[in-house]
Amino acid sequence: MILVNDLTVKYGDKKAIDKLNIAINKGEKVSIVGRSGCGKTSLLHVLAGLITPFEGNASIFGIEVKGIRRGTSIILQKDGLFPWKKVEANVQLGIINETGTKEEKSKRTDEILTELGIFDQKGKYIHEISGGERQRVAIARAMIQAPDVLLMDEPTGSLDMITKEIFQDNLHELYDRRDMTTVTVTHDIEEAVYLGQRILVLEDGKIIQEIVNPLYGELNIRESIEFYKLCLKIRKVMKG
Amino acid sequence: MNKKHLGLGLLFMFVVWQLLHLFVDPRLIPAPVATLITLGRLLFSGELLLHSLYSLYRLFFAVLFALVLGLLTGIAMGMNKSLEKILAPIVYILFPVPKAALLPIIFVLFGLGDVSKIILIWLILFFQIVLSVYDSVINIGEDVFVSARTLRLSKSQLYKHIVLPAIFPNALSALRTSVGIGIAVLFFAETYATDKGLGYFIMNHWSLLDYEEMYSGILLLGAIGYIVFSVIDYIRFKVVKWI
Repeated sequence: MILVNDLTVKYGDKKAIDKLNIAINKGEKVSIVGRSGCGKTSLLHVLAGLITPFEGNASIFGIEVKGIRRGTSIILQKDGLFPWKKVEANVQLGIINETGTKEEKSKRTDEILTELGIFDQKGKYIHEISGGERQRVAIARAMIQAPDVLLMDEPTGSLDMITKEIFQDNLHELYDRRDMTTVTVTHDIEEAVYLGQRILVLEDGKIIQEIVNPLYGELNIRESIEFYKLCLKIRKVMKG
Repeated sequence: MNKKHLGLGLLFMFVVWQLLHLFVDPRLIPAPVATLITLGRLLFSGELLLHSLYSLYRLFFAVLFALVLGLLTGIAMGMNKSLEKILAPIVYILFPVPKAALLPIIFVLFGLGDVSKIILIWLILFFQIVLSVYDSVINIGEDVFVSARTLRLSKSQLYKHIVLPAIFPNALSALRTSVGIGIAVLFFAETYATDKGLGYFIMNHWSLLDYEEMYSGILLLGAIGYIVFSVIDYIRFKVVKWI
């Protein structure tokens, strides 16, 4: 379980997160949606161990978050890939400190690249592949670490509508194959609904609404009226 | 630059040269063909080759030391806030000081030999490389370092996989600029207290009014610059494929 108790994060005098409490069950897919500057990236960075110290408490599976935890992978807002490395090398950086021969690591990389449908791109530099493929490389680098917690910060923020939907479908396929707890922060309401079993609406560092998503996992939910009704409901909450 | 472009560039240079020879003063500006013949003769006799080797030796060590120490200092300043606070003002103060004015002090401290000439060239190149590398490091971007942190890279892995590759293209550009300036400074440094080197060769033949020999030395300096630039461009072409 991921637990956040009375979490407060300040930048100078400004509170990015204000006495926040969240509980996320093991294996649960949670979306946190909110407008720019609402504190969602700060929350994700706390869970990733990138922001320390902070007031309050955050723990993952009973262990307090004090730094970057083995088993937690994060996909950053900008894909976080290194342009001077080819796709394969970018992915392998995810397991640079793991034991195993070069061949074993190469095999693992090939497997994950194949799983995500980007094996053919492994010899290319990042500028030579499309935006959607970049996001899949970022996912591959996260997945090769075999995480039990996956944190995603605006994972489709830079993608066009169709590429975004394809990428979100890829994520669902991954969720089906792997037992992970995932937290996705996004400003995109449709993405939050599509990827989250539970949707938390964040404003000024506080949760202002929590919605259990009854549509999660249903086929073709983007084509249903209920999907848009739910999006509209969240939109109204966000607009106040 | 391909062979065709090089050929066209040289042709243009020699046509302009020939015109200057014809219309300005044939005694002060010898014909390009006659100069090339003299250059060939001096190279085959070994005279010019010896002077070139001395110049290359001085240039090589000055650039090598400037590059190594400049990289280390620039990276240290960019990566460590405390060092940045101490070193940045020193670099900013010393960078604009004309290093040639320090020549008498360098001669007093290090003698009249090669060491003082290498140090003079090194001094001029060092600050330029430091600033270029420092700028490259501080421009890497916070998101890159955050990404590296999420991968739990060690310090040495951070430098090997992130910092050095990130600054490599700019370091090559700094090297190229430095070599250009280095050759110019080399000429100046070799006009004092030596009878070896292309700077000495050119100035000596200028004082003897041997203009074909003088221009041969100048041509060779240019050729050395061209070769070094081409090598750096080749490394950039082969290694820096991500830009």
